[in-house]
Amino acid sequence: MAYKNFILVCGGTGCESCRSEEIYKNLMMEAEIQGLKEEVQVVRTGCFGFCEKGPIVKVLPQESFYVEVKPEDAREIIAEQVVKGREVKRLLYDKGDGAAAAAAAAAAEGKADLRSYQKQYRIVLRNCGVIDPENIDEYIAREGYEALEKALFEMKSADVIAELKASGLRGRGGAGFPTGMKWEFTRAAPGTVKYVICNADEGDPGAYMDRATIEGDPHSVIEAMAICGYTVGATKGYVYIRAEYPLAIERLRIAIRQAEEYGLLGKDILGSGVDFDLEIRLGAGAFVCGEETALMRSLEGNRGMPVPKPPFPATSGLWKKPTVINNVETFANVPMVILRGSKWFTSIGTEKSPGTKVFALTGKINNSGLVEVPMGTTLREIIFDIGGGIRNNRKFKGVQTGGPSGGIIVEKDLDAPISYESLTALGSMMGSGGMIVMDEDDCVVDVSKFYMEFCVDESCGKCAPCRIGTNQMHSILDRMTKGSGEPSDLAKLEKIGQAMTKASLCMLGGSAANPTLSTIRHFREEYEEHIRDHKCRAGSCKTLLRFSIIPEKCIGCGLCAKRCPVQCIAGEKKVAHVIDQAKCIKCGECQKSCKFGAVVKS
Amino acid sequence: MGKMTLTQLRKHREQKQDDVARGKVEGKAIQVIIGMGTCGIAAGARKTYDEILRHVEEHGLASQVLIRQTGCMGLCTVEPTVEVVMPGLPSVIYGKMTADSAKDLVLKHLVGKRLLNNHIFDRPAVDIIGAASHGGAASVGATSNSGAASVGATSNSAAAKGND
Amino acid sequence: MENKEAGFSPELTAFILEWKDKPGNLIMLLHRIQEEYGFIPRSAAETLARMIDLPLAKIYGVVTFYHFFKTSKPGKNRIAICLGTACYLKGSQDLIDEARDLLNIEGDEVTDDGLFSIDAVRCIGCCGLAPVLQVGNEVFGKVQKDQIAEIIAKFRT
Repeated sequence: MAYKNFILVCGGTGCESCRSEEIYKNLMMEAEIQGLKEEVQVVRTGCFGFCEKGPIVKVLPQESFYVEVKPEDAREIIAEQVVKGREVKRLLYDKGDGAAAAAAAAAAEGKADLRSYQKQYRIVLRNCGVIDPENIDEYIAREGYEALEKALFEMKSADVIAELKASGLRGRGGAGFPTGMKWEFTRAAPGTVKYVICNADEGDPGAYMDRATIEGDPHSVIEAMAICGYTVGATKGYVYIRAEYPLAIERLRIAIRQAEEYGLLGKDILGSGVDFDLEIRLGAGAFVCGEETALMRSLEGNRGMPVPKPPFPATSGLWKKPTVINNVETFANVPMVILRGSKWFTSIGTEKSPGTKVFALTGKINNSGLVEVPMGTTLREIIFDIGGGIRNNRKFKGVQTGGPSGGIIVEKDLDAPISYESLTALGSMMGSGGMIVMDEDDCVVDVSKFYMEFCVDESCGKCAPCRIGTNQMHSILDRMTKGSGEPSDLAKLEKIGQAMTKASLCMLGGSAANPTLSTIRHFREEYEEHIRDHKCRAGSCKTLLRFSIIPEKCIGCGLCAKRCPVQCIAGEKKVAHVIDQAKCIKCGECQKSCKFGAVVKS
Repeated sequence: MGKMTLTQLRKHREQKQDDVARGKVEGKAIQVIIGMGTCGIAAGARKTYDEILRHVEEHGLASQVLIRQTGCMGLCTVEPTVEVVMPGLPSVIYGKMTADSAKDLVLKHLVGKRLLNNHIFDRPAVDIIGAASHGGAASVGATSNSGAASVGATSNSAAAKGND
Repeated sequence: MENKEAGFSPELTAFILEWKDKPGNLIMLLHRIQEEYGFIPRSAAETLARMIDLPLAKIYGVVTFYHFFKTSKPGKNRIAICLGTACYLKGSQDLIDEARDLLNIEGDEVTDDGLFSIDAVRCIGCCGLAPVLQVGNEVFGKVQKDQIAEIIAKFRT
């Protein structure tokens, strides 16, 4: 016996609150009443995202996607779909009849079909979670190395550049420089020795898009680098990757070896006469090496300190030779741009920022994970539809993009479509793709301090604005979180921040003040509370916390006193207890242990 | 297989695509695919892998079931993730598949041909390489696509030359 | 200067000879040495300087620039606690404080028995499992403060 249909009922928290449990029971009951228990299996699932349209029901194998389903719809779903094999049109997310026709029309025009409820569109991650990254054959079977074939045998190097320029692909490391132009400058630069570098030194704490891409699909990067080598006339490439990513390094090693065995790297690739070798070089835990000039100094075996530009790497890069340096995600796009063409690529995303962007969605979010969306998707769609909203029903406070170089984006700006320009206009930046969601329990002063501490650690020390400025800002932020901020501190932070932004040698110092400046802009009153009232409304600056016991609520059970690790709670049995504020270490155990809600945090 | 020429690579690719189209990889009809990115492994994917392997062998399914690894499926909060592809059942992605879920997976899904409750998560996006996996019609589409694209490229290169 | 204590293993020597003439090899060589010893002992740096004909000062310049390279011997079990943003928001600083408390060590110190040292690291890349703690190759996800003692005990034996 085998089931004909499977009805999936979303059991995510959002859907559950909208009676998905009842829907589940009704579907089971209806299947039984209509005598179909052997025909259909009703299954409860994890969160499907798309919570605002919940509850969600999906029927397989037809892939019918029903939204805003009510318990009383169960009978119709069973009677129509399972018995008669017809979809319940009024519940479908995509009610149009012409889904197949629209897809065909898009394909005929060479455009992408983007009408999926999923909101994600995977170009960079096309093979991640699909193929075995340690088996080159699986990559090859999925159009792998077809773009290399096409470039080598059907396109001149000028054609490759023309296609890339027409595609509008921009650097996904964060700066957004047009990739085609980078390649063109390098190709045009005089000299016979040139290099291709892949920047896999993903240093933003809280971002792991590049790691996942290399771990899941290393050949996409290798193929793109070989295409780049052919295009700009380089025969040697380097992947500079964080030493902290052992699995990615191992998979890349295996992939390079397999590509060499098949003759897709090395001498005379596929008999084309083109040579290209690839070597892995490890980073050693310096955030500044994500900056391209610092990365190249490091690759040369030196301290990774940035140098002023110009000269740009395209004319004088690694060992002073013309060099293309692109980020992992940028490279992973290239084979698809070459294969499907610029027309297809520009049909995705926005006019000035075509294509997709991968984000590592983390923090106080329900479905944290790796997401790839077309540019132009809104932050709200990413956080609330794909991400399933904020954990534990807390209130959304802000989302940090661009990591320690970016800024916070608040509720009122969530509907802005994502592009390089829009995020900069909102006082943040695209960055490499870290997206950290904060809720009301996160203190902006504390988070700014966290990012500034990171910049203090990572500043290479070469230029004074960054070396001194980050330290000064950190010490001011630190004293604010400890209740000894001074009234002039806010102005000082702004002044130092602006100086660093203007005068630093590279983007590390140039953007280190961003998290602080952007949170001051949006949450000035919270900073003022820290300074003036020694108060942290989020309750995360521990020194400023105060636990106390409401005498009316306390029954004197003594549980909190027993749990207190420093024995600072005193009181007779059955009499209200008191916390000795001088001894309290603010661990919060008393509040956790109290069954009567008598311990309060302020 | 050593170094390939262009013709050999194309033939190799076609052969691999045929295998996929016929629903058989390495001669086995059922595939259990385990997400083994850093996140997955940190959440215990290796143990899940070993347990599934053990139960598959215990139930004498080793000749029909291919257990293989893949990278991150993107569903980081519900790692470890496992996709199951088998005839007669829709392909699904299961999340939160710790080692103790392995027995259920083998007994209920592979043997009992039922989907597991409370573990299914939605595939995050459509497959843009879908063209290749749907076999016939799509590969025609792919050919015409690449034809169109290369025409485009030629005209582009003409334009580029004009600009020079 | 005479230096006999840094007798490199044949594998390490072979690696150094293989990489000797590659441009920009220093960081790769230091990684290999740290893999062997767990840190970069001074004697090893001196030997390396002789083998690849590079001033010791240059080697130390590089070693001290990069966080990844250690100049003192870490504990047998290195407890790496992630201080990436996602982990920090979910309380990883508390985990560090708790672990330091339990082991009674500060900063880069090693416990008296040489068993443990604690590293605050930047993003292991498992943000979905935040907060994350790693001992050797074993990763622990969604760690609570009260689990630390248990995890340490596990590696004590």
